[in-house]
Amino acid sequence: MTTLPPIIHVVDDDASFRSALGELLSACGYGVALYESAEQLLKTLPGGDPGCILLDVQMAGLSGPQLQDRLAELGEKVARPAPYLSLLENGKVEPKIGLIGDLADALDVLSADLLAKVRGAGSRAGIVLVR
Amino acid sequence: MGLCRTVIMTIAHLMHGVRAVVDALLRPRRFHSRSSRWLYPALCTLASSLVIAPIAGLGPVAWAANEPLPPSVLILDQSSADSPWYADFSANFRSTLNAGSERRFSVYSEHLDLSRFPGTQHHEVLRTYLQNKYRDRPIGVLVVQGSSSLEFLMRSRAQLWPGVPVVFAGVDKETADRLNLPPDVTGTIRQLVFRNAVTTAQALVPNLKRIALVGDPWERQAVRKHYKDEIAALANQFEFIDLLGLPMTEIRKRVAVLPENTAIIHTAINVDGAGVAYIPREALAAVAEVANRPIVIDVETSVGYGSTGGLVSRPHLIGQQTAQIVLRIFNGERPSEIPITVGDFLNPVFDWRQLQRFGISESRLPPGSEVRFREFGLWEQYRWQMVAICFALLLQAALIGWLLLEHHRRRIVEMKLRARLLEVIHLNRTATAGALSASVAHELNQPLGAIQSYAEAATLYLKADPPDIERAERILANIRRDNQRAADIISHLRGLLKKRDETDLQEFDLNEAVRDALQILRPEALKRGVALDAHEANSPLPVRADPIHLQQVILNLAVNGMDAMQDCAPGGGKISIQTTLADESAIEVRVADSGMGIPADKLNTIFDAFYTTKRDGTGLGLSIARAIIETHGGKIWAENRPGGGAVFRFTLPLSRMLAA
Repeated sequence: MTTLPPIIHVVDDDASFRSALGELLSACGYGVALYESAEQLLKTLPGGDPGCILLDVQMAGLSGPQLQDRLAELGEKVARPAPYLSLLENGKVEPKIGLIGDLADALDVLSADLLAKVRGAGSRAGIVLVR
Repeated sequence: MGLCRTVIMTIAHLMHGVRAVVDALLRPRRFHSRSSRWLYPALCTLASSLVIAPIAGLGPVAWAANEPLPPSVLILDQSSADSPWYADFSANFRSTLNAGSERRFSVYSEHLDLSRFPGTQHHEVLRTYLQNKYRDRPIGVLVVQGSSSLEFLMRSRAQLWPGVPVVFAGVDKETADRLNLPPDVTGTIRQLVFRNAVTTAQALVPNLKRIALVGDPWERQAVRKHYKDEIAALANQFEFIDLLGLPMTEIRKRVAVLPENTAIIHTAINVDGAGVAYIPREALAAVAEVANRPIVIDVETSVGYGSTGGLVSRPHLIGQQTAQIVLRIFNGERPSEIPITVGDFLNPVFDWRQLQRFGISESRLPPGSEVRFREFGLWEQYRWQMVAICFALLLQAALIGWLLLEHHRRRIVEMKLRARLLEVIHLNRTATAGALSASVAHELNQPLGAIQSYAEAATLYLKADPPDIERAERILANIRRDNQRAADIISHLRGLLKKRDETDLQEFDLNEAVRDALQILRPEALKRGVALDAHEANSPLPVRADPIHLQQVILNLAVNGMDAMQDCAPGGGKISIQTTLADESAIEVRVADSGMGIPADKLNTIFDAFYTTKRDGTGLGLSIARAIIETHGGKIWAENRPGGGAVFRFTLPLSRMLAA
C-alpha cells in the first residue's frame, strides 16, 4: 500500500469549528474530509482506506452517539470492521461497549499529541476512530 | 251715662226754673192781651236760648245731646303736604287710632303750610276753603299739628267747628300759654330745650368752645323761639357763631371753614336769607355736605341727612300719643278732663356714617343712644356666610391637599413598583440566562475551539519550511471572524444580564428581537433535541418597546414551551415562533409547542405569579411576560392547539411612526 496520509473524517454541524479542525489536521499532514452532518457521512461512507472519524456529540439530526450506533450496525457490512473509541466530553477515552479491535491500533492513527490538541480545541467533542 | 243723665237733669231743672221766673213775671197781671199771648212763648223761647247758648259755647252741649261723636278726625297740619315730620306723625297716628278701637275712623288732613304762608289773607282763604269743604262732613275730633296751626284754629274755631273737641300736638309751651286755651282743647306740648343740643355737642366735640347756629331766625321757628333766651344765658360759656337767616350760599361758605372745637347746631330752614323755600332736611343736606364740624339736630326727621345726631324729638311718638288722646275722647272722656301734658318725645339718635366721618367714638355718646345707618363691614354683614365659605374653602383646600398627597404617594408607590418590576424582570432574565448557560457555553465553545485550532494550524504553517504565509493569513482572517462571533454571543448574554433602572424604549423591527432570541435559544433547543423554527412576517413589524424586554418575553415563552415538552418523546419536540401583522394597528407573535397542552381550567391562571407545574420552576416566567407585554400596551394569552400542544400569543401596538 502506498503511504497515503490517513484520512480523517470530521463531522460537525458548526461550520467554523469544522473548518478550523480541518485546517489543523491538514497542517499536521493528514488528509481531511469534512461533513456537516452524520447523515452526510453515512451517505459517503468511506471505503477501505484507513482513517478515523472526528465526530461531534451534539448535532442537529443524528447525534454523535446515534451515528456510532449506526456505524456499529453497519460494521458487519463494511469491508473492514471498524475499531473505535469514544472520547467523552470530559476528555477521558473510554472503550465503548461493542468495542472492536485494539485500542493501541487506533492510537497509532492519531498521535497522542494530536489527540491532546484536538481535545484542547473541543473538550466536548467526541472522537470516533474507525480503522 | 250717669254723668250725662245728671247733666241733662240739671239743664232740664234750670230750664224749668227759667220758665217759672217768666211765669212769675207775667202771671200776676192776669190779663190776656194779644200781645201777652204772643209775648209769653217768645219770652220762654228767648230765655231758653239765653241759658242754652253759653252752655253750648263751652262744649258740653254735644254730650248733652247724648249723640255719639261722628267717627271722623280732621288733622290740621301747619306744614306742607310733603313734610317728612308730618308723614311720620300721621302714619303712626292712624295706625294707633285704628289699632285702638273697633270702630273705623275717617281721617282727613289739611296742610295749612303756615310757615311759608304766614299772612292773614291766607288765613281767610283757608277758612273759606275749609268751611265749604267740610260743610257736610261732621268732624268728631280735630287734631292740630303745630303751633301756628293751633293759633289759626283758635281764631277760626267758632266759625268753622264750634264745640268740636280739639287735640293738639307739636305745640310749644309759650304758644299754648298765650292762646289761653278753653277746657275742651287738650293735647301735648312739645318742649324743645336748647340745652339738650349743647349737651350733645359737648359729647361729640370734647373741649367744645364754639357753637355755630344754623336755621331760620328764632322768631320764625315757633317751637324754638325760646332758644334765644337760652343762648343768651350760655353766652359766657361758649362763643356762638350766628349763621341764622343767612342765604344758603353764605351758610355753606361759613360752615366749611369753622375753627377747631366747634359744633354746628342746626335747626329748621324753611326759607333762607335769600328767600328760597326749602324742605328743612334738604337744606340740612346742603349744609352738611360742606360742613367741617359735626352737626347736632333736635328733630328725628333730620337724622340721615348729613347730621351727626342729637337728642331728637320723634314725630311717631307724638303721633301715637295724640292718637291715644283722641281715642280717649271717642271713648267718652271729656277733653276738659284730659290734662295738657308736656310730652317727652326725645331719644338720642346718631348717624353712624357721620360718627365715622368725624372720628367720634360711640363710647362718647349718651347712654341708650340709637346709632343708625351702621354700615357693617363684610365680616359683620356676612359673618356666617363668610365663615361657611372659608370653611368650605379650607375643606376644599384640605381635600385638594390630601388628593395631591395621595397622588404624590401613589406616584412614589408606582415608581417603586416599577423599580421592583424592573428588578424582578431583571432577576427573571438572569435566571433565564442561568438556565441557558450550559447551551450558551456550548455555543461559545464553538468559536473558541475553532480559534484554538486555527491558532495551532497557523503556527504549524509558519513553522514549515518554507512558511506558508498565504494560508496563515487566511487562517488569521478566520480567527478574527470567529472571535467576532464569540464577542456577539457574549454581547447577547450581557444584554440579557445587564441591569437597567429604566426601560429603554426604542423603535425597532420585532423580527430582529425574534432573531436575537433565536440565537440564544438555538443551542438550548439543540441540547434538548427540540426542533426550533421561525416564520417571520414578510414586512417589518415596527414596535416601540424595550428590545431586551421583548426578547425576554420570547425567551420565556420558548423556554416554557421546551419545559412543557420535557416529558415528550425525545426528538419529537418542536417550537415554532411566528410573527404576523394582526391588523393595521397591531402585530402578533405566536410561540407554539408540541407539548401536552394546558388544562382548560388553567389557561388563565398560568400567567399568575408563582404558578408553576415544574419542580424547579419559579413560576415567574409567564407572569413577567404578561407584565412586560401589558406595560407596552399589549395583550397576552394562551390557547391549546387543535393538533396538540399549546400556543402563547401576544399582541403589541404597531408604532404609528413607521406604520403611517
